[in-house]
Amino acid sequence: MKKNKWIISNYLNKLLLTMGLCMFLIPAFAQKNTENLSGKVLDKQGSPMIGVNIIVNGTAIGTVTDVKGQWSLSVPTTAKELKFSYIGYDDKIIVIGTNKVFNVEMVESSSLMDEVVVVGYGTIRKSDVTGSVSSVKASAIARQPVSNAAQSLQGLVPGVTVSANSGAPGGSVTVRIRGIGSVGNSDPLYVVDGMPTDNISYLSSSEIESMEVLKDASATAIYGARGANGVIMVTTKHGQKGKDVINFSTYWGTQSINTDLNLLNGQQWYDIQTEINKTRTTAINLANADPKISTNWLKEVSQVATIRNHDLSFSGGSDNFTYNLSLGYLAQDGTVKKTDFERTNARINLERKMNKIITVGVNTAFSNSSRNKVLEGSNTVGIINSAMKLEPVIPVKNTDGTWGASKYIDYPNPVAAIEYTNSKDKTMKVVGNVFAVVNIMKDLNFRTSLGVDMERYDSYDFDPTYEVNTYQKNAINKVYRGYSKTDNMLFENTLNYNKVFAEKHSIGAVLGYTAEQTRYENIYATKQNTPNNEPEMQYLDAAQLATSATATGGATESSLISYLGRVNYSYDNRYLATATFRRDGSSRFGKSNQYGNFPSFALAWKFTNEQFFKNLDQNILNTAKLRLGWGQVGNQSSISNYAFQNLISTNAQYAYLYGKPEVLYQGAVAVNLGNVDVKWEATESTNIGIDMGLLSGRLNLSAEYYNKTTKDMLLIEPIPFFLGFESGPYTNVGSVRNSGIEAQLEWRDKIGKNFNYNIAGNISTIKNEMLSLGSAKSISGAAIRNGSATNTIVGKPIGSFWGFKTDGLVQTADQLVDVKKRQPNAGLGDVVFVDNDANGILNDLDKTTIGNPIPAFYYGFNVGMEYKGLDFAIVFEGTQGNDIFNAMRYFTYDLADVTNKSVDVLNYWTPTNTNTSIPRLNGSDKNDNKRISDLYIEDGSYLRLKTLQLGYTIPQSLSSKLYMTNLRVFVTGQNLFTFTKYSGSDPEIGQISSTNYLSRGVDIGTYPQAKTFTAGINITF
Amino acid sequence: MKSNKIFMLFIASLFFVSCSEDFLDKTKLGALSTEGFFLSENDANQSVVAAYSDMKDYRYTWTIWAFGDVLSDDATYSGSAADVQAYATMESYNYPVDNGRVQGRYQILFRGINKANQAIDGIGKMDESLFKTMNKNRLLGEALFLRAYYYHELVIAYGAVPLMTTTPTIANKTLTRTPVADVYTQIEKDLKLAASYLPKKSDQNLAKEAGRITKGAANAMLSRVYLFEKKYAECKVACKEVFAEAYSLVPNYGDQFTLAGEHGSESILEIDHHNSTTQSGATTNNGNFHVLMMLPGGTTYGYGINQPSASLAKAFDDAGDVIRKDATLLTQADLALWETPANVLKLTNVRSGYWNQKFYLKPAERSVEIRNNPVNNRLIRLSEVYLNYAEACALAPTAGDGENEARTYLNRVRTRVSLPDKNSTGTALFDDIINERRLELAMEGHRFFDMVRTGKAAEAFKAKGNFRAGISDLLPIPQAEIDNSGGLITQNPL
Repeated sequence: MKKNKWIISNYLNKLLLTMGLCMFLIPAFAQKNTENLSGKVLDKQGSPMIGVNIIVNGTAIGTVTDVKGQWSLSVPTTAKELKFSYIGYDDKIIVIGTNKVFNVEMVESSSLMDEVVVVGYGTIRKSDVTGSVSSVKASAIARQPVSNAAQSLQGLVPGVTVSANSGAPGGSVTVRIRGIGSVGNSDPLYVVDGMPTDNISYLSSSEIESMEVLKDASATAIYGARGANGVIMVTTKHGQKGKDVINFSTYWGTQSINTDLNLLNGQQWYDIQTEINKTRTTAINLANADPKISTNWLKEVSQVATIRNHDLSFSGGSDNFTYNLSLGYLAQDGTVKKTDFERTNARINLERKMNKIITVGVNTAFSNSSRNKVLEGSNTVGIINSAMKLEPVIPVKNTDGTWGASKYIDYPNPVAAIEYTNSKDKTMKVVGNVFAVVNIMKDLNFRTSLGVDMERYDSYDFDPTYEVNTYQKNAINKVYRGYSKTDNMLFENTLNYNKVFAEKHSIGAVLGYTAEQTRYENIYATKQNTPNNEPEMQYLDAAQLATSATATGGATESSLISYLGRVNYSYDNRYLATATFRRDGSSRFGKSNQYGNFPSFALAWKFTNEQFFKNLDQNILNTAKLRLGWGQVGNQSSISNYAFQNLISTNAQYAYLYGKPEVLYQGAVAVNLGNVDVKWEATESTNIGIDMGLLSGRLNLSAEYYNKTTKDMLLIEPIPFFLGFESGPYTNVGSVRNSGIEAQLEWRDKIGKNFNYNIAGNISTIKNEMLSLGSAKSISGAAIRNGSATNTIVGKPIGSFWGFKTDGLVQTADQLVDVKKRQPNAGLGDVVFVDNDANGILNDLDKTTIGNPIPAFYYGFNVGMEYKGLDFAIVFEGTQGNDIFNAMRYFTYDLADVTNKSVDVLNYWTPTNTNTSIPRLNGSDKNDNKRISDLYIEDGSYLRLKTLQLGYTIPQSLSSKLYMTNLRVFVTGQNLFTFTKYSGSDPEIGQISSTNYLSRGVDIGTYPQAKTFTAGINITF
Repeated sequence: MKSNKIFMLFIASLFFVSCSEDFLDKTKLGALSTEGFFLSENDANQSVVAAYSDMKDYRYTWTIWAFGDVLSDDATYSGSAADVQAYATMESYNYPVDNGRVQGRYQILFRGINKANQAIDGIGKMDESLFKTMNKNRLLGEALFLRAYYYHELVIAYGAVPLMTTTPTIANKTLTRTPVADVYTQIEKDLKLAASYLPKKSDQNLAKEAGRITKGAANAMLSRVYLFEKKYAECKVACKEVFAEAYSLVPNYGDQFTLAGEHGSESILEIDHHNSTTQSGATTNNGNFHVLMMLPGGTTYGYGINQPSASLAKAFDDAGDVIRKDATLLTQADLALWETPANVLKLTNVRSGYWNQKFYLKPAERSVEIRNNPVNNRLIRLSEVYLNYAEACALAPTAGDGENEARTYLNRVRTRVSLPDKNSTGTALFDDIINERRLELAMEGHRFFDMVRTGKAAEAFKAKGNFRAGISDLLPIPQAEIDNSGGLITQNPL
């Protein structure tokens, strides 16, 4: 089958490479003349400073001060400036001029605290932040070979959990900020250069300058009705005033997955089936199986896959104009055959100061991606799922070229299933805004911006005709074609005011009005019977069975009007206060509840700036700030549009036949209940934090406690079935609390002249507890065979695992007598299920919470080192205390059926092998040992070497000969090691799908995360 | 400064540009809401079609046999080892409260009741003059029948259930279980009114209307309902209403279960199925799912579920009943005649050696899409009404409607399959009638409910498991219903 590639992408791929390579060929020049400079560096107290870094600005030529604070350096005569730097002190730049001796005094700073961070509708000095905000910079984002930039937050930001729902290229990730705020959609809001969006998978990591995570209500209240689940502010790269820079960056690599899951080989399978046969009422005919065949199906469906990425950008600017143009291309094959992802990005960010009053600009991103997919998320026919459970004694293909297939059961041959899969989609996105800033007065400006977020989504599928066996076949081929478009327009107007009064009173204020409108429209059509299965015929027009044509389509619209304001007040750089307010009006709600108000307040005290503290004259604690915040924010993403209306459905399900011959009549009926009174989910949160800079700024520490309670949680109220509606109305009845502690610690220092290093770590705890479900007793989730894996009940975490508790195996005849009272079909070696309500009857009422998918804590730590041109970074991340519901055990620990099994099963109970947790073999399993129980629960804790990168920057003396300002080569490893007790392929289990919210941590054969090795090069001209 | 003022003005204007009043008023595109419905004859018709639609929903029809046959001594669940295992607790009468079948039937039947109520309410309020080509009362009659039918199917499986006779609102969620007798009162009322509104089958244009509910169906259903209520006098009246119409037994028993035999002279109500090229979804199609389920494993497709038991085979043999045994039980010998030799060799999941021939289609008749088989699902046949009548006459003999009448109708059923007349009386006659029901209506979903209704279940099913009379009679209320109602709906004894 030919691969469908976009010609333009191929072209771009080549173009980017060619352009990158050409830059090597620019002829080079070198300079010779030098002169000697020297001097001494002292601190404010006049003490000599040891190890101060001195470089000729803009070059790699440099030295460090000795124990007396003295230095000398030979510099080119063309050198203009010297830069003195020392951790915890402000950089000092000295113009060389005619002097040869420079004695310099350096001033302490809290440089880390003085970064500017992006908050909603503005920026603020990090040292003035009163809410809970974490920031991740470009370097930490771009070094990870991931297709979705949100993944690069994993392990780096306290309070943020990122887990992939699938390791498929372009697969979705679940991002949760401070726990899970709703049984519905708890995805954070993303804001890219001011444009709110629900997903940033369209961005290339290299486009991103920084990501700020707004965590508590005092930070997110500016986004009102959408702030409850946290906000991730993404700022893309803009041109910097000064030099024009061309940057070319590329990496190539390979990815692989762990396919050795310790499943039975052919002989082992054959032997255990021989034993099971003795317990079957009808033995399976093992003459049909060849024990010499040992197919590792997981290996057969997987491959070592390539990944390659190229980025090229042009940026720069002058006082009145900055620009950044970038192109990016990512092509990633999947570790499961026939999956891949390809994305092309282009960006134009421009800003022009027209005159003293008006500045205009544009941020535009264009992104085009395509994916080939295989079936995931199914616990019956998913590819990984099938590969794990299909017996090993089947060849992928028989010697006659036909497909191998189970002789015993209807599980599909996953290799054949992949072969006949033609599922792909393409997404095109244009996101951008045009803005003007008007300086009305010195301290007051007005910004108006018109933004669009347009998405075009194409889906293609084709079922060819094929026959693997009776169950896996398709007699008439079928074309599927879908198209949808989403157009979102945003109009924003804000006034910004910043002024310092009487030196000590500083005020920053923003006042705004915004209006947003979204329209979605889709078409989906299918038709059967094309002349052949070739790609050229996979179009609706080629399909000839006129009566098979189906078409569906629809549209939705929603809108949001908002009024917002925020005031930051600071007194004497000691006392800080922030008040925020947003009023949102949303079309998703009925007339009576269209508007909601979202206030927040925060206070901070920089007590190290108090005179009494300065009087202590100590050198340990340099800066410290206490923060306290409170706010109420909303979440409207848990609700669909129109939930307040009673709609008539004409779904095909409501049709009926009359007549002879039968004629189909379409029915129409209301099947869902609307609720005119639905409103937002409101989350009230409190945050207490402290930020400290210690030991001359080398150690930075931040710790917070948060407590957020979602009230009025939107539940599709589980109405009784007897009302006869298919689902209940959305009702604001639930409540959930998330609380925890987050701590972050960073140490930066240097050893000797050239060795810089930093060590950082973070840890977050989550306590998630359902406080109320309204009238409902529970909400089940993650449907798996014969039941549900999760059940949310009051007093337990959202989406807790649910089932029977077990109490070992029946070991003695005496015990059996007792067990049989509750499990009449039990025998020796069967599982003892716990009669949880102790009423002497074992039934579904004995099911209880058996596991928690939410970790007790999760953590990350990273180390960075630089020595001369060498740089090294390593990032670990992990979770502790979370469980995984390994639904694959239904097959891999089955003692009755023909499925392939874990080798653990070989240790099954027999009268002579009683010291085991594996039940007896029993072909009829009348005791139902397989029922959902804690035997499915595994410890999901893991520690993972997330990223390891080693880079080398060619000395500038060499690279400058190539007219390069910087040339760096690097190798990166992603997910190299994972330490876990989990028996599946990968312990990083997100949700079954991005919208299956109550399926967190349920593994139904999850596409595992790849282990990736890449090597790359980064050139700046 | 002048330019500043202009800008201020410009900005001020932007701030007060308020979007038009209706900016936040978005209504669903491409679908009606209830406010705009029941305005035309077409709306009325479509609402009734929707009320019918749950009758063919496989989640309900599955239970007709999964309860009616499999929970009785006539069949066992069969299928793959996993299928057997998944249903084992049901068959041993330890009904799990979250069993999918238990929940599916309950859910779908109430959905049907909701739709019927919407139709009855909506059409009831419509002006007669809106109906130009259709008959308002006929549509109402169909909806009334459906409501009664669904309620009866609920009551026999679950006992007392909440009774609703208007379109439910969220306020109704606090309802509790209505006593069975009160539900039956409503069922009787609905069926009687339906019978008065509906046309006879003989007046129906079969080509266009086969499958639509008739007067005969309403009376036949009423006769069945009365047996459950043990109202034998009323049962007889209802049966006679049916006998007054032009129904007749088909000469060859087996013919009525074939494609050609659909809507024959004996047929009172069937669910129409067809083979569609456009639909194949489990809930969205109108094909017969059960053919796939019951076809022997190893044939074109087939799970080999609901295999008739040796006990049923013996019952046919004991009665010397060759014709009905042959028409009901599909054997390996039958398959050797009809299937390809290769398929016969690779039969899988052979549990009892029999399959249900009443849902069997020969290879050439089968659909390509596995769930799209065209054979109709027979719900009410005249022979059942004969046996209803015989039972009522035998149990409550009155002058003219006594044991003679009972034997007459019993023997009509027997004569058709070349069995000799019965001359029994008293309890023996009753037992003969019940045994005749087993043979005549075998694998049509009656046996379990008949045995429970007549109090014979514990004895009849003892080989299968510990059937506890008074407990195992009723299936559990789905646990989810108890949860969703906050405990207002109580559980049956488990």
